[in-house]
Amino acid sequence: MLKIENLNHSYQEKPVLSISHWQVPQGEHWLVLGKSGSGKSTLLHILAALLSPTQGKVVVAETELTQLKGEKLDLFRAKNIGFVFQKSHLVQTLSVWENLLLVSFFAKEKTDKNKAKTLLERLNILHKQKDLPKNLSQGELQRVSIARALMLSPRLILADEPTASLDDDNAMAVVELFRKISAEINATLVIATHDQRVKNQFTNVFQL
Amino acid sequence: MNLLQISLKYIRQKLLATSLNVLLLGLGTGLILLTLLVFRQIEQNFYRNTQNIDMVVGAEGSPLQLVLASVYHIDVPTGNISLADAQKIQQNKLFVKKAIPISIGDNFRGFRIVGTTLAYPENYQAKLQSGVWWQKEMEAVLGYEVAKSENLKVGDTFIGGHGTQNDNNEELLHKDNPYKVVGIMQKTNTVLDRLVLTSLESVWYIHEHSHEEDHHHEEGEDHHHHEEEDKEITALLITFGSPMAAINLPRQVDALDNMQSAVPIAEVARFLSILGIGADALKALGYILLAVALLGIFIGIYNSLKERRYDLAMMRFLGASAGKLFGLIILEGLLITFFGLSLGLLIGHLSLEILAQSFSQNLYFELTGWFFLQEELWLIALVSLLSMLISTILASQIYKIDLIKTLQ
Repeated sequence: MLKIENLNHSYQEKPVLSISHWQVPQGEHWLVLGKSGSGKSTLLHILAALLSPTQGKVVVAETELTQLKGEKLDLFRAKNIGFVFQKSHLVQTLSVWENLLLVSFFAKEKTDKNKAKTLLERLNILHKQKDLPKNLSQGELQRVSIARALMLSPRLILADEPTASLDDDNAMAVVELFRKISAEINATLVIATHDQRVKNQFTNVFQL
Repeated sequence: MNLLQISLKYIRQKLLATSLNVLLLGLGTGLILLTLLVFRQIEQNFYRNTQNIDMVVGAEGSPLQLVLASVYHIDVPTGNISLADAQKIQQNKLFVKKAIPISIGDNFRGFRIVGTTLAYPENYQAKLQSGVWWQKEMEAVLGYEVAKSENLKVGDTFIGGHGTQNDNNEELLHKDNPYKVVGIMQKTNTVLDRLVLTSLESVWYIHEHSHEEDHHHEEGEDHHHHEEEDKEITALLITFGSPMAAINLPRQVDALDNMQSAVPIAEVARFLSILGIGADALKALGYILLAVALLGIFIGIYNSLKERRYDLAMMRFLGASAGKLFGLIILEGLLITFFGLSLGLLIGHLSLEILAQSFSQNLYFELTGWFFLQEELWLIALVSLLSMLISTILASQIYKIDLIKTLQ
């Protein structure tokens, strides 16, 4: 479950985001829509506990985020939240396979090689497992970063403009993939986008 | 996956840049180490060979030359002194505990033939590996290296040549007076290993003999007496009987004609300080290389941090604590240092061993690359500490990475 109450966030004294109440039951898929500058990314960062809101209460996976600090917060995030950034941000010196295993290492979880293999297979990039990120196409990178976000079966999956750099067909396919995999692990999915193409696939839309 | 693997992967990806740093670090430490090893071995060798020899008495000339020639068998002798004069000093029982006469002048294929008494090998605690010590004229005992390099055994004979160096001059060979090998010494790690020892009488015999051929003069008792008067040695190696000898003996020596005394320890210290200047110059060069290498590591890590801001930010996002990433950067610095130092140790020891092997014939004493010093540990500690410091300063930048700005 995800819950926001009386959230206010200001950046350099200027208010950038204000949400009085938003509640999402576990396993639902939501789209956060809004123009650039409307605070979509800020909302995602607050949900991912990357940013501490100026005011308000944020609960993710039964945990109030403001209660956690430092290393505990880092570990909570690593175990419970999967985040797909606009850019893939894979570790450049490690292969696709190693990038996935890295997640378990940093989250202090047991390395699940079968999981990594299954994910790569599902996302159709198993054949690239030994390649370095620089040898992958934009679409492939995106799929690897999705696989990475799913490695630890998070309770909450956040995606920031995942379709921005993709053509129509691929955009649809990626959104479809997000929904399917989230459903399989009963994760809450929140995708922030200004991409109108994906709008029709979601019934739950949160307009900023 | 663990930090070491991540570091190693990174180093492997940046092979050119990192191997350049490793190489510079290796060359720097290698050069410092080589200089240190050579100098220490020369030093040790010099001091080892002064065993119990407090003073050398020989012909007038450079005192350093006298010491080098009569203690280390490196330089040519300053000349000869009369046996009678030497005996006068030897008789001074109050100050002289032990006096070993040596007579140099011939060589066997570059190895010096030293006429002396049994007190000489005894002074170095030399033991025989085969045969017996010399008893009669023209019997010789070989040093370990001599026997090994010339492949001689007890019972073999050989011909000495005039002069302390091997001139390959047929005319200078004492063909009519071959030496007989009666004994071979065990390895002593002193100058003895490269010497041929015989009695003083053998040396006198050879030179009187060639004398007679030239002159055919005089006869009978007069002849014999004259010879006794004439007998000469190159130097007298003295062990003091009392501390006062250091003051009194030189005075007594100076009173005699054409004689001087020299203190090996003092001369060697002077000689080494001259060598030391060269060693310092080499060491300075090594330190410059080392400084360049450390600068390289600094620039390397700095660039890697800049380049990898995204990687590091992502690792933090994935749950890596700042401390873990801090460790990652320091580990990278340490790995480069480790490889560099290993290379340096290898370069230092191996190059010395190669040098020693290829120059073994021209060296007056044995050099080896398989010689280890306590200073090496200091060198390793110093370099590790410096690179650790550099890594730490740079790694602290990690705390300044803004996750949101970097990952957006």
